[in-house]
Amino acid sequence: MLIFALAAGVSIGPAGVPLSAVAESLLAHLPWHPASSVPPIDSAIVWQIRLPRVVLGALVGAMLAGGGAAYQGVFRNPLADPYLLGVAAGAGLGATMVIITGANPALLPPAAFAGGIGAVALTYSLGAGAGRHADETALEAGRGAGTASILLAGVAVAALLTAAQTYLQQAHSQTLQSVYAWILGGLSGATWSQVGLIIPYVIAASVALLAHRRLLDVLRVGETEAGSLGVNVARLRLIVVIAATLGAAAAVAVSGLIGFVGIIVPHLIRLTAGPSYRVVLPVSMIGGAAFLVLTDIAARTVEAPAEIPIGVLTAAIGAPFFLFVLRSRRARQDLA
Amino acid sequence: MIRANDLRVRFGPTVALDSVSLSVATGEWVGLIGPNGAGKTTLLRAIARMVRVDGTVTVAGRRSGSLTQRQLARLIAYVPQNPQLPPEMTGGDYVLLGRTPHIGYFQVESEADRRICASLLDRMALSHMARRQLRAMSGGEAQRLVLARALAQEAPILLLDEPTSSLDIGRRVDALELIDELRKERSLTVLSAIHDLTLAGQFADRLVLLAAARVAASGSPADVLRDDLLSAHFGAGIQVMTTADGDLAVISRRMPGSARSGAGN
Repeated sequence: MLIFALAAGVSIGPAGVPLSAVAESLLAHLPWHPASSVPPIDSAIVWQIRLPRVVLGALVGAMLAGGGAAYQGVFRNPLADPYLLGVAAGAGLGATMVIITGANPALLPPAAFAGGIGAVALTYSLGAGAGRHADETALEAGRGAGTASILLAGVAVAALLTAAQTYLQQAHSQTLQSVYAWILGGLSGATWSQVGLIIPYVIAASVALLAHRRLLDVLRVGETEAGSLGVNVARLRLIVVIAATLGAAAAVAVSGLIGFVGIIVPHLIRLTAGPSYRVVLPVSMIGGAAFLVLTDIAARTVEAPAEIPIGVLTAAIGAPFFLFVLRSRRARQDLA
Repeated sequence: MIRANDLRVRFGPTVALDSVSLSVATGEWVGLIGPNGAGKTTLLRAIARMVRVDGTVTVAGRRSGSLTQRQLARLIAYVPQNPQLPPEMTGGDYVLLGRTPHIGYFQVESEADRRICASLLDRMALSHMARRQLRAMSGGEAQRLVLARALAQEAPILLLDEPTSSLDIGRRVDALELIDELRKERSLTVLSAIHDLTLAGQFADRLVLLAAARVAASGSPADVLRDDLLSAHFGAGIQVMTTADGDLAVISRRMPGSARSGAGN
């Protein structure tokens, strides 16, 4: 699936490049390559434009979907997602600050991460605090912080941070254009340097998340029981939240605000492969990569030659999906 | 095996445990009895280090506070009163959770872990549940499955909070007999809260009566299961009778003239 998506992503575009030419031009970058018959222009399109875009899309999709699955596991909340927890808004605020101050673009991921981690901490403390009375029995039974109160807190935090970000953006009108283009979310300006910028964060986040996938399964019996099974729950939660936020923030730093990937993909994986995080986490990363690459193909072909911002497409698919998940969860009384 | 000294637990203004001391010898089964809210669950959780507690708990000769979470989970297996059973998890995966304290940070279950769990499922007559989801279980199966998960920890100490509360009387006896057999097979040390006083007397070597956050009495079942002691602490007329087998049977008595048995118009 991912391989298909990657191949299609490289091949499809305003200037069609046949798959055979794609393969040849890729091989041409290997040492001892066979003699290439691909016209240089096609090779340049593949190597300089399509390929970085597809690779970046795959990395971003993997981080958003894997991050969503990890948040869902650690908050024991089926609707947790980088977007809904305010992580994306916080990361957006951090990234906007970097853009308006004209600082080195290498600061984008760390600034986005700082904003994202601040937002998730705020959301969780507000959500856990606001829901404390209603959820005390739920917490006592190890059911985790209530779904509704966390989501409401996430909405409030996202609104607040978005307001701050909008204010900064308007107050620095000379950079308005670049901030706005960035927010809309997109992979259109993807370059290899962006791939290089986020790859260390992506690798660190992926390793940390995958290393904890078994413990996320233990957490399914609740925090108290997980503790009695030898899991240091506070440390687990800290590491997983930091890793997921790191990955999501890196994704936001290069692609802007792309919502709902973290909900759509893990839920589709659960429907087909079952709820165990041992499977859901790695498969969500692969599935998220494929999903975003395919969505990006749609974004740049549906109204060709114009491009639809990819965030618009994911929201168009994701919002109805979110309501569907909310309804089916409520039917099962999992909602606080 | 367990030595608790001067334990005190407060929840806000409420004193949940007040200077409670207790010890359980290796291989012994101690039953915790007492009215609702007396502190039975809190005492178990304090020993399992699940609540903040003042005082000292020594487990297998080591101060509980000096152990890591993993080390503690290799010494103590805790079975809560209402365990969470994720409905979509399979029975086999659920029992495997018990191996967590033996699996390294970056590792997954080994073949040996799987063998241990498979033989436990077999021992508990639950082999048919290995691939079935937890939602498809009966109360008795769920109870044995949680016990299997606890045994998968291979800890020498078993803490049980009302292990039989959701079962009918026949399944209760089955469950307690099973725990007794496992205790002898694996020389486990058992500390359990038991609501049913008759069963507590039949199965435990020693009883500790908790009332109002303190130890009100402790000793052999015959020492603790006494009319006056139980009536005073449970606030109802209670009579202890001796059955033909020599067991103690604890029954409640209706008291004519008390508020609850007023004229029946």
